[in-house]
Amino acid sequence: MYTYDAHDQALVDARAHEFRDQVARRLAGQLTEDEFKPLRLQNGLYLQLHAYMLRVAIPYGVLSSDQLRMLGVLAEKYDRGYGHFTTRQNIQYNWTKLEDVADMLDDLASVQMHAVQTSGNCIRNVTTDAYAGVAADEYVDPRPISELLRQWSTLHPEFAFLPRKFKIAVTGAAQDRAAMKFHDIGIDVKAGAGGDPLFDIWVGGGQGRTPRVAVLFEESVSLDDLLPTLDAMLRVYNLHGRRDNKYKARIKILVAEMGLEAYRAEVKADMAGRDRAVFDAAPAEYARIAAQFADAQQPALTPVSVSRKDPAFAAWLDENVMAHRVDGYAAVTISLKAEGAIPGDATAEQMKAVADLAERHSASEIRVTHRQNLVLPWVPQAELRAVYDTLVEQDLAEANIGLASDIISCPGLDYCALATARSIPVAQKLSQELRAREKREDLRGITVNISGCINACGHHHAATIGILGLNRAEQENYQITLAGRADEGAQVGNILGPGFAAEALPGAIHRILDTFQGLRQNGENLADVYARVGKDPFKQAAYETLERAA
Amino acid sequence: MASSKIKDGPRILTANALLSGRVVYWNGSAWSRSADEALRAASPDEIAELEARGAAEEMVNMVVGAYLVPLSESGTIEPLELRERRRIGGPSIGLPGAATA
Repeated sequence: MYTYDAHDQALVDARAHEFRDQVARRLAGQLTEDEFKPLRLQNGLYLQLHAYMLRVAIPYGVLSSDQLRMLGVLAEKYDRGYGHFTTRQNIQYNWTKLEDVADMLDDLASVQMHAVQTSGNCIRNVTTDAYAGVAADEYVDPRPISELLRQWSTLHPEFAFLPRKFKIAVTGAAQDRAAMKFHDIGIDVKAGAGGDPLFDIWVGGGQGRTPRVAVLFEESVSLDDLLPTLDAMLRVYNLHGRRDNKYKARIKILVAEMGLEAYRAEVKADMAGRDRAVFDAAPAEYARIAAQFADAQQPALTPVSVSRKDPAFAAWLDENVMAHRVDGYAAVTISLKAEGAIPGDATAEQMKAVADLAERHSASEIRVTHRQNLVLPWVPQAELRAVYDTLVEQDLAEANIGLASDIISCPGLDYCALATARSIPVAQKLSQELRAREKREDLRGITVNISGCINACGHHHAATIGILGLNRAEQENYQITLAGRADEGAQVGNILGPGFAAEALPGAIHRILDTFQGLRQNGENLADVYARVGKDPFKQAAYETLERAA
Repeated sequence: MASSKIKDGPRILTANALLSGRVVYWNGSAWSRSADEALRAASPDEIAELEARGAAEEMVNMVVGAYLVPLSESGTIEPLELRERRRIGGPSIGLPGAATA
């Protein structure tokens, strides 16, 4: 893992100190809410539907045991005993008190964490593959470049007030597990000649009300050119991105309106006129960071055969344990999607238990996935049973990773001030329905993602079955999209038709799955079937009972 | 102050408490956590007075984001808007663990 140097630590310490002063001035009436709001947002503090919410950054989803333990302590000490892991690999506390936030930031700084740039129109937390450094299909570990990007983008003086928020994802494996093409900028790292990394840069992806799959900006960019290129890409966006209409302010709209070629030409022109000396230190810093991650690699162990006599344990091995690039290890994904549970939520006790587990069995390291689960990346195969037994005690052993019940859900109208409908109760109900169903049929590869508004924090556009909660005449209504994909074959889901009332939604989902199973050939997934037969069979099935009733 | 698309009918005044961020309602003399205790304004004058009260309370640093919530004509505290119906009752879900308020 990356360990803060003196500069990193001084920055987060100073930031916490600065925010303490800002809160004091707000409480003393020296700052109005209009003056204070941008300051609190720059420290991840939102005012949500019922209370303040603090969003804490988990850079590229990597946590140490000490850090996860602290996240549990914060939940217990300042909140209501739980936290919510998000689709951007962060964690949110839903019941924060303003007077506690500076103490929370101090506690976070004590374990090299912060809430900087988890809100606002700036470059947000850089995300990456939750299995970085351990996945068998990895070309290049994406964490060192993610850390370099974190350093480059943190308090970048030019990019603190962009036209809109800006999200960057990095992947370095055959399979894209970071939804890279649904980001403002996506970076695909590959190995160049001599082992130096090369970067394919994608631009203009995103979800929200105008979903777009990113387009290729440039292939095989060298390490020397990466930061100058990104800097120029952001600068051109900062100059031309629309500030008159927040719904048209993301870079995806700029690239679409300007045209990729014109955008690229302007970026190149900007680069040509710049002094690159400011980036001279980047390759050496990359090497320093990469060395830290390389040092954390564990030595190979003798592979062991794990007993599969216990059917529940065997099911967990099949669904939640991934092959590792180093002999003798496995990567364990901990489901935060127990049947009927709130996706992504973990109690303080669970966080501390996972932190302890990582300390004993996973080189003190944990990852957060963008599908709102946790990963123990370095579990010796011989210790899988011990890990499983502890997870069972913590109600964290649901064997459903990659199955339909592994549902992504945003907080929706139970918490979020922007939401138009609830998403969590829908996820809970579907989790129960789908968990029962997937125990008798194969629903691997079906992703169900739920967003409580058009902003799409629940990634509904990128799901096999996406659900969007809307407000229709002050009643909750749920629109279904089909055949979206978040992986290397990213595509936006197709709207099936008019929305459903919450009570009618599970039935419609079942009929869609019935149709899928009836039409499926040779192990096709739902997106394959949809591509072959189109929308009509699914639409007819989904609306079958509604037509009968009409 | 946030304004509703619904232009007519009775109103109550709500905000978030500055310190805790929790949802509060104006009961005529103070802020209450209970919507049932909220002061209901029906006439244009009463509604204007309530709106002015919200702005004044923000100025003295007690609350954040005060606004009026349109109600049904039923006589009970029944918001017309989905968002406000959800906001009154808190999360509709069981919170994780043995958490308490």
